[in-house]
Amino acid sequence: MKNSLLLSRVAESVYWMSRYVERVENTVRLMNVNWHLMLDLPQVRSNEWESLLLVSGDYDLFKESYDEASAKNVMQFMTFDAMNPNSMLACLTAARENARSVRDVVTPEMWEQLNSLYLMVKAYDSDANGFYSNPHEFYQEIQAGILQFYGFVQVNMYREDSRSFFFLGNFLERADKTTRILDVRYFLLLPSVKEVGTALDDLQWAALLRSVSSIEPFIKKYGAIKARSIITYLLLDTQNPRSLHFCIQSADQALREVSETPFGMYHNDAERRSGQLLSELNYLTVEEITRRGLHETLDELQLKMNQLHNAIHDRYFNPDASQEIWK
Amino acid sequence: MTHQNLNPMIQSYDPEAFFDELFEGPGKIRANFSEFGDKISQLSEGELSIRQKAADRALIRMGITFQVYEAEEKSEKVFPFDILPRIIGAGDWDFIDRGLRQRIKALNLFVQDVYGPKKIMKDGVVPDWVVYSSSGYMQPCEGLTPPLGIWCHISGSDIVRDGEGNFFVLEDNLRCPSGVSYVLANRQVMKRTFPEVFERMGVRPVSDYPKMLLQTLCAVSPPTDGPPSIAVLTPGIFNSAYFEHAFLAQQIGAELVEGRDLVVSGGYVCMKTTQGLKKVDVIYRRINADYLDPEAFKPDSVLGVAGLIDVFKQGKVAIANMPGSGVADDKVVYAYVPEMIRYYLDEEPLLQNVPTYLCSRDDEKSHVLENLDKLVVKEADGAGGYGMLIGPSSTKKEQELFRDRIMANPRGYIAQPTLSLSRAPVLMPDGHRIEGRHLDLRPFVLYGDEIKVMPGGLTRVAMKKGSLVVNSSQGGGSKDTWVLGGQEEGL
Repeated sequence: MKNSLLLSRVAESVYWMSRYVERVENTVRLMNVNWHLMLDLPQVRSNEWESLLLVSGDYDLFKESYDEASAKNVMQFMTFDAMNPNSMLACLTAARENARSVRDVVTPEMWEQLNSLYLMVKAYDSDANGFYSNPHEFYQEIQAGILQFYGFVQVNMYREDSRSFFFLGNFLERADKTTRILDVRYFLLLPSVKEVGTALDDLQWAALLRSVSSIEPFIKKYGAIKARSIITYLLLDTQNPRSLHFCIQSADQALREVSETPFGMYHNDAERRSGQLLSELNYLTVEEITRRGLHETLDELQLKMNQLHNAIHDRYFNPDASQEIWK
Repeated sequence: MTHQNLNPMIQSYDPEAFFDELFEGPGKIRANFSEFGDKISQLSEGELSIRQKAADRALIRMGITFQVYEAEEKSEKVFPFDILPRIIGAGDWDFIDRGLRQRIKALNLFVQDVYGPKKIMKDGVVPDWVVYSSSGYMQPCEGLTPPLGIWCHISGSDIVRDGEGNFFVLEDNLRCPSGVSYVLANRQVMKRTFPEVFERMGVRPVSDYPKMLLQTLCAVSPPTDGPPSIAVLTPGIFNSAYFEHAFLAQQIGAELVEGRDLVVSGGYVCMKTTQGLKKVDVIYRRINADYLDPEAFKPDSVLGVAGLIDVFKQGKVAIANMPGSGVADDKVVYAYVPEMIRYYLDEEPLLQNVPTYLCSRDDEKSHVLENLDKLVVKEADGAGGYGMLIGPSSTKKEQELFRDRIMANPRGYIAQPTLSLSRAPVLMPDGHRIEGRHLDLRPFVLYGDEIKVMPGGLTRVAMKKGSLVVNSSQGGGSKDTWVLGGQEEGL
């Protein structure tokens, strides 16, 4: 038994604080890339803004309060709309509320950074600042603020279980977003599986890569943009810090830091599921993915991630009250 | 020392007809605070306002906020802080200190008596109906005896001064008095922004409060092998004093828990942790006693822990303050505190009560009803400066409203003469003037193996001109409180 003590509620709040911050990081990246893409595209072929709503799964909610998926409407909805639970403002509010409830494990630096990021987005006057004609700077500022927050986590969060739950939440959220973006974009860009393997000289594919991570390391390693390289890079590459494989590996490691269970073994359902998922990714190939169908594969992976989340919840956040008492 | 650099703000300050904590006359700082006067006089006019702004920024950065609720909107506010300290001389403090010890001792004996042998009631000193109609009386506490017989581990009595500078106790807070975190934060900010004024003044330290609190809580813990496991029980982040709960937990190394983090299992109160259940020995509760245990008290409470009181009865957990201690901070019971001191301690009370008219007594009720425009009327179980009528500044309509309320529920109201509360100078927002504002003092008293009084306490100031309401929920602010004549506190 470890000496450090972490309340289940505190673990859960740290986990969700981290997920919400990472969600904002993904959304801001997606929005910014999309805005740049729209500038590059000769004419609008498909409605790129509408497809963003599909990624976050908020299309129906959007349609309840907006008519048209125009750039301005979608930016407003995804950035400032407090009624949209996935908007940057809503996620920052939720992250901050979670941080506030666990101020005894969040360092003052982390708290102040998150607090000022929230205040910045909340107080921003999008009309006065010409935001809708050039959102780049503001989006960059949010991104920089989040990275600074992560910096504080790295350099001054005490290395104990609360930190492991932070990274557990962070990597599971990132894994979820990477698979979602790939799923939606891929479907829109390449409806026919036959085209897998042909060179794609397309701005939109580059935008897809940029919206998940940097494109330069991809080019260095894989050269031309091909569908199979993209799938490899985003799902299976162990060196890309945003690939599904990397995220699951990191989440698995965080879980094992908490229980001190060695790799390849398990003591609870969360560890069993995370080990299983990691093992599947260790041995998965692009060929198998295309044989099973990308969408079907991603669907299955997402289901497993949800089950992993539920297992973490049951084991750590909502423990059984009939356990032995630790005195 | 001659006052050659005398700051014009100080020179032009007029205490008017009030008792002023710092000035004895226009432009004249009290002789026993002359050292402070010399130091402050040497600052230039602009300097004071620069330091005030630095202090404000420090408080915002530290996130020392409280929640307020207005029109269903909740928001966080910074507790306004005035840079000029409220100073208490060693002699005055010695008197307050002795008076508080006497008072808390008697109050604690009273609570123990009420839930036990009821001697004071049988002897006719405090009538039965006064006890049983107090909103803080809790029937399920009958027959309980807490460790060391202590019910009120942490208390804070509000003290005011009248026009002559006499001290009075305005009310006793024996449930979960808040504000001590501001005392500690104010002192920190003060030392950072005003080091050269603070230095060598012999201000008694407040920084060991967390250590004393921890000692007090450990003293009542059931026997344990190692150090007791302590939890601060908070209602959660939406409570106005949440910052204080988190702060105190951090300072004493306790876990900050909500009711949903606790469960009764195997005869113990336990915290739910990622490593399983962990036993709790002492609960410093910051939720109302009614909500502590849905099995013993309010059945619909979701903030507490079912079965807590049963565990307490088995001696397996201590609770501070004890549920039921609130019976003694009802404002009708308050009127009997001087009698309690005589009854239990056979001593004359040192700190006086403000004269109090009980509307439950017919003759006093008619006096109150005839003088609604002169008196302050309070709800017997009110708090936070709400539910009050301040006669001299009230409208006819408000007076009629209170007349109806008193007629309908005489037990629910008391009245006191409007005191001409003492004042102290406060720096105005423009930074160029100081003006007198009314204030009070909430000292904090700890009662475990012994009684410990924190030197000073929370000085609350009504920031609005002429206002007598100092509560933070109603625009009040605070000052650092200096008790002189002690060992110097390091910077």
